[in-house]
Amino acid sequence: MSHNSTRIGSSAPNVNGVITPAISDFSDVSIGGIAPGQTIVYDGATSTWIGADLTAQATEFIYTGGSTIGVEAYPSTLAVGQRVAFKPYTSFNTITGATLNNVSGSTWINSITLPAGKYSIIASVYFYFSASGYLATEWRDTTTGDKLSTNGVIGTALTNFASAQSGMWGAFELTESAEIACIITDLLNASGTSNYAYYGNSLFIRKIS
Amino acid sequence: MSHNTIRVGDVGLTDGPIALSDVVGGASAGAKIVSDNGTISKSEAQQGEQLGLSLQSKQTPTYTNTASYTSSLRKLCWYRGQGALTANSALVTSNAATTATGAIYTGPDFTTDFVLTTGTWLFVAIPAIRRTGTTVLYYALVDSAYVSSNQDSYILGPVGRLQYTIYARHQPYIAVIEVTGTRTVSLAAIVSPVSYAPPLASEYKFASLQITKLA
Repeated sequence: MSHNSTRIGSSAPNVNGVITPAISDFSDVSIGGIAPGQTIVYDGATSTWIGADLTAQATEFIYTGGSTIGVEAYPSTLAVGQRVAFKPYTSFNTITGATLNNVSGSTWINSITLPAGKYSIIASVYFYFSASGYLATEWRDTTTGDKLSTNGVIGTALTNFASAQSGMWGAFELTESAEIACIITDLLNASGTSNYAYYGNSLFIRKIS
Repeated sequence: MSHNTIRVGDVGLTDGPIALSDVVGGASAGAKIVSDNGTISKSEAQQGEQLGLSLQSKQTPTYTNTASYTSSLRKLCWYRGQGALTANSALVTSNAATTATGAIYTGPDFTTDFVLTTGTWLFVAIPAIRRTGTTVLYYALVDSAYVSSNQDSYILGPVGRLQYTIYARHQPYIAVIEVTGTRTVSLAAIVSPVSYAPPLASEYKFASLQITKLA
């Protein structure tokens, strides 16, 4: 067999039998027009590797928050262990397989089902206080009880929470689909039954991977 | 010489051409070729990559006076300090014109208005406003023009509120909005039955704002 009868694409062996192929010698590569700074990306439509600009994938996320001032009855009273509800005046859910779960007979959301994956979360809640008090909340896996975020504490009677901050922040991994919810862990004089305070309730969940 | 003793990497040559996918493994749409410590391989498309992280600022101490909820809303001013990121060209920070209703700013590094282009945008803000009264102050992401007294027409995000203390105890303010074309937005006090004042130096340094383009 002649030394140059074996080729990769158009690249033939040299006299020592060494082949130095270019990447374009592969049969599924089409990068004739690739520009400086572009990368090689697999194009599922043509089943070829092509030149393309480096672009990030759109973020998968869930958001719900208020955007209207008004008065609407909160769907329940508040108690330790109870779920906090979020009113989805503006709502996005681009996480494949995730669902926003409503309070029975209501449009208020009080849990979210997420597929397995890694997530980050930020959330804020607002409630009316009948007198000086506080309300502490955190995100949990409703099945395992695992804590998924920091506690956030609002109110003015913060003696027991001197170093606390008011938002809930977290990053967590779910190894399988799970339901998560914002849970009240402590409260004093907090009420969900008056005015439009909780129209600021909002949450943002980002699927990291 | 047997034809299958010739290999490209781990791939033995057989009759016919060799594909890059044979070398790096089967790929799905969007997969990229990357280098991992010198080894060239395939990387599948990853979720969670941000399209843009644009601004992190402290708020200026130039915010004064009371506001009503009609046409005299007060925009929050943000200072583009060192370390501020402007990675995404789709976001244009725009210093408010001196004629903008209620806007107060003191120089080219201060911003009240953000010009957004088509896409989905996330705002995470912790503003600083020092209340001098005892009741509630509300603020929100609004359309920067807000020429109407109809709140529904210019409030774009949730309604944030100060707690019942003189010193603002803010929760993170979280808003996601979709923009088609171009839209100029601001964070502004929207309902204020109380007086409020510029944050003290010890307070406004805690203020921050991040704007991220999600899609």
